[in-house]
Amino acid sequence: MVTLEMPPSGSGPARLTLDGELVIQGISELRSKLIETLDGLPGNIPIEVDLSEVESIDTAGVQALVGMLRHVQSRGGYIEITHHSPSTFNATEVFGLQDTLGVGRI
Amino acid sequence: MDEGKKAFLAESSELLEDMESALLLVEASEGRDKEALNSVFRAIHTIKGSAGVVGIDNVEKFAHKVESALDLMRQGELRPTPESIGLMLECRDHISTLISVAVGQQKEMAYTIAEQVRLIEALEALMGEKGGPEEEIIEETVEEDEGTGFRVASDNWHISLRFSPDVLRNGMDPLSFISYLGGIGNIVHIHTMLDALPSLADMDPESCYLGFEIDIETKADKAAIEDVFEFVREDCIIHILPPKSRISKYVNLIGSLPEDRYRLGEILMQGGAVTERELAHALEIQKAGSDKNIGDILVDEGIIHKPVLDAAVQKQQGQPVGSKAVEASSIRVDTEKLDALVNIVGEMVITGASVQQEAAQIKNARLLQAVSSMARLIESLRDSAMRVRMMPLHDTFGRFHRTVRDICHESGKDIALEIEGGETELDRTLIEKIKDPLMHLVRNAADHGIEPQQERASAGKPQRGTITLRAYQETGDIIIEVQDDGKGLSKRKIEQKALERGLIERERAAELSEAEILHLIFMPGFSTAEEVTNISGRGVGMDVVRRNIEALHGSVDIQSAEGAGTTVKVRLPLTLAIIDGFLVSVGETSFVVPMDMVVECIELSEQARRDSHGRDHVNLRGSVLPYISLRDMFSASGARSSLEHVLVVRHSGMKTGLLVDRLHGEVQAVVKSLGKVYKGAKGISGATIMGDGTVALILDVPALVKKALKMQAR
Repeated sequence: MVTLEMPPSGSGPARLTLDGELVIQGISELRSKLIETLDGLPGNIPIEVDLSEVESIDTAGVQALVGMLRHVQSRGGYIEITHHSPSTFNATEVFGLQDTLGVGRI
Repeated sequence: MDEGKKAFLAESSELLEDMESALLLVEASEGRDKEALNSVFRAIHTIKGSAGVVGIDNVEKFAHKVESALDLMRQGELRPTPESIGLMLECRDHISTLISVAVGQQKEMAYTIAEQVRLIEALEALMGEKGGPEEEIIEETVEEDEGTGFRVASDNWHISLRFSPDVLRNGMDPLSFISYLGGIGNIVHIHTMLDALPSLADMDPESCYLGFEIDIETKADKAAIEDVFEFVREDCIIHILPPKSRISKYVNLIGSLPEDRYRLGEILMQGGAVTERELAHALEIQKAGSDKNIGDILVDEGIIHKPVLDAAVQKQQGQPVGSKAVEASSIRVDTEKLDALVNIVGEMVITGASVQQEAAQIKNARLLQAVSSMARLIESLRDSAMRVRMMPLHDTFGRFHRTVRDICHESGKDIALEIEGGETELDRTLIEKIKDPLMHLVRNAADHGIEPQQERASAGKPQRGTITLRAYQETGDIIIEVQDDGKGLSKRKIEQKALERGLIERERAAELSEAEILHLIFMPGFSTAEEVTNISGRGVGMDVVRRNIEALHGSVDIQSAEGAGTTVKVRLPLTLAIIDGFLVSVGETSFVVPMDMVVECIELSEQARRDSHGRDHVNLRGSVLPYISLRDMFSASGARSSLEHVLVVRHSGMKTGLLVDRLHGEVQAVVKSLGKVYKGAKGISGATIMGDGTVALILDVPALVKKALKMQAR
């Protein structure tokens, strides 16, 4: 449910794609996977997150997304969510988190 | 510990101390000292407020109870009797425990919880006697607010939600509740509180960390809104404010939420729940009701932008910004920063010394002049830096009022505590470390020294016993005396006990002087208390007191007259960080002797040394002076000089000589600890780095004097 694509030419942002269900069931695995993936990235390579394949998300999933952003930002890295799916977009709206999770607004 | 809690801990321990001394004043004046009662109230009120801000709910709730009782006392509905004051003191202690638990300095124990239940019951019983339940009081204040009729203009409902961490695990999803809420009205604004949400690595992903502030435009009534959250009622704290609520409702809401109140205010404003003007008014009410120190914490924490707030308030009040800053005559400084400053000054003293050495070789008059004025400045810089670390002993002494009061209540004795020389200043670190030994001495004096009233009366003494705490300076040392006018120490009993415990041999007992017998009580394993009482004599004896004091380079002495009282005299150095020393060397090794212990220097010729026949004594103007050869003691290398010197040092009235090769004169030494490896090294108390970069060892003169005396005894 977490896929990482490194930039083809060696420069530019890495692309992190999340898919499937970002819900409380399996949230611990998602968390470990995300930490493992993010910490495995070289240096402070910028990260673009694609959520367009996410089928559903709940509060736990939203928390994990914000936690992920903070994880990267706290070590000085750059991360932004570039694509939303209808469900992640809806959750963002309901929670009024456009400023935090909004496209290109991080 | 985060910054907010750290600041809270520092602030609250000061406030708790204030509260204690003010409570004692209230008791002493039998409630006539209204100002003291007010300051007790202010202290608890501030603690309550700050605890709420940093999110220590337990302290906030408990402090609230105490505050209610104090309020009754302030209104004259509850009499400040020794019992009620005693209860307040217990509550104070309990808050102190709660805070230590909350900041993680102490583990929570079942006892703490039981104590809290007991205290709350006692408080309620106390309040039950006089005045109604506290809820009524709150209602009254709300009613008053209604009178002023200040209401917000907003037509929307405001809903404030804080979910419990378990809500997700219990199968509830706040997302769906809020979506559903959107179905019964138009959500004008929602702010998700992410404050408590940690970074991914620190997160328990199944816990909920979120809170929400929602403004909704709806025709539904309060019950309908509550129904939305019916299934999560157990897992959620919910506040619902109807349109055009009284501003006081918002004030209460802000006060009850865990987040920073100013930020909450901004969020409310963004959502249109309150206007800027209303917010300023609400914050004013909040400010009036609490101490400004909370604001300081928040500024420290970096959460609020004080100028912004001040400006907002100023707009309403026409009050100049920054007037508060003028009031404060002191600031709180982290001890770490202070230590860093002292450290740098120390390095500067060293560097200054090396510059001076170099300049002396260049022999340029103008350079020498400049260097000498620099040296003078460095010296005064050093003195100022040291003075920053100095604190008067007054506060430390003052805390023993409580100790003595408690002992009086437990034992039925009547004891007055007198304080002399409280303005005497001592290094902060020393003050911290001397508290416990002093506490032990004061308890000893009150428990074992002062007799019960009847016994005193029959001995023809005033019924009220007196313990005097006295501090003064004497030749570069600070002396602290704990004196009581009690029964004194029985030399016969001490001797007997020491014999029983095998601390002395029977044959030697007769030879001991009175002073030596008294000193036996500092031996490990000695306690004269015939029964172990609650107050002292818990197996921690005077030997521990002595060891603690000696660890601070101090010494302790005791004088006692049977029937008339006992005086324990503690001698402490002014500071431990920088000393004036005398530099000597043996072969290639340099030593520093603390200057205040140096008496004089004499030459020891080859001839004189031979005259002493290897017994290491020297004739000092007719009297015999034992000396220690530092060369032998520290196995120093290098050739022995033909003309050696004896440095005469003195400690607690005893003189000893130190045999060295060369004398170099006065130096300022920045004391560096030797670290763990050399901690056990006998005769050395530290090290210092000299101007030329070499290391000199600082001699532990008290230990050397003792060693010389032992040699002499043999």
